[in-house]
Amino acid sequence: MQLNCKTSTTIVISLFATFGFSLTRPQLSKAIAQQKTCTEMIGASDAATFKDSQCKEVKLTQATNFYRYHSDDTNKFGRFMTTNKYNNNLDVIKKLALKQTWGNKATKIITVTLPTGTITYQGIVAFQDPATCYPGGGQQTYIVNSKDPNIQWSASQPLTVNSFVCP
Amino acid sequence: MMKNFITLIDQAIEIAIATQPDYNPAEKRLEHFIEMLNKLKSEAESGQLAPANNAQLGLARFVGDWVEPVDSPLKSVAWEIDQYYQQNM
Repeated sequence: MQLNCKTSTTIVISLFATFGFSLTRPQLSKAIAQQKTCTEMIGASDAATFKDSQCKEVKLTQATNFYRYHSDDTNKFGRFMTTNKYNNNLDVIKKLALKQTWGNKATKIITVTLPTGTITYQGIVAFQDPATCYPGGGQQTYIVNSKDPNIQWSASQPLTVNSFVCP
Repeated sequence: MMKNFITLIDQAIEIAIATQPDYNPAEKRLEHFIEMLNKLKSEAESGQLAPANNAQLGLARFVGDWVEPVDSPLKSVAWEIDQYYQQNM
């Protein structure tokens, strides 16, 4: 009987530990209060660049490489980047929903090294109109301070370039 | 409705022009943004603006990549134009 009791207690404690029910009520309230939406974290307009306006905050625990695609020095630097490495401009334009009205033809790639401790916001790229041309769906990483002097921007490398047509 | 839309574009152009002296001349994106706003205004005034069909123009998305500071009034007004276009045009 004693053994059964101990076993039950152990199981209950394990369940609590596994599912997080061991939080006290004030702790639980605090944890829920800290779950901010993407819009609350970075604002509605930047959140809307993520699919369903959903992103998660990720603090980098080590220097990490991301990629950014551009076509000239005008759009080389900025807050949006990705973990996805593409070999040609068409994949970039579609997956990252780079509306061509805005001039980024994605003919080059650079590696962006963000330092340890950088707060990033990560999710999936939302489509841009028309969705048949710019469906999105690639990984997107957003940072608030792209002017951080500790960020390393590599030299540009050319991508394979094909003609992009959007009816 | 169109008048409100054009008023918002005018506000954006005004803010963008006022912002220009703070930017490095090498920053061509602000210049391009003003050009696009003028084009949009011209299309709206001449009745050639494409219907939104619930889509956005992508103004705030473009500006959000580079504008300083990150909560710039330019981005706010760009977002207002995007929202207005999507909901009313």
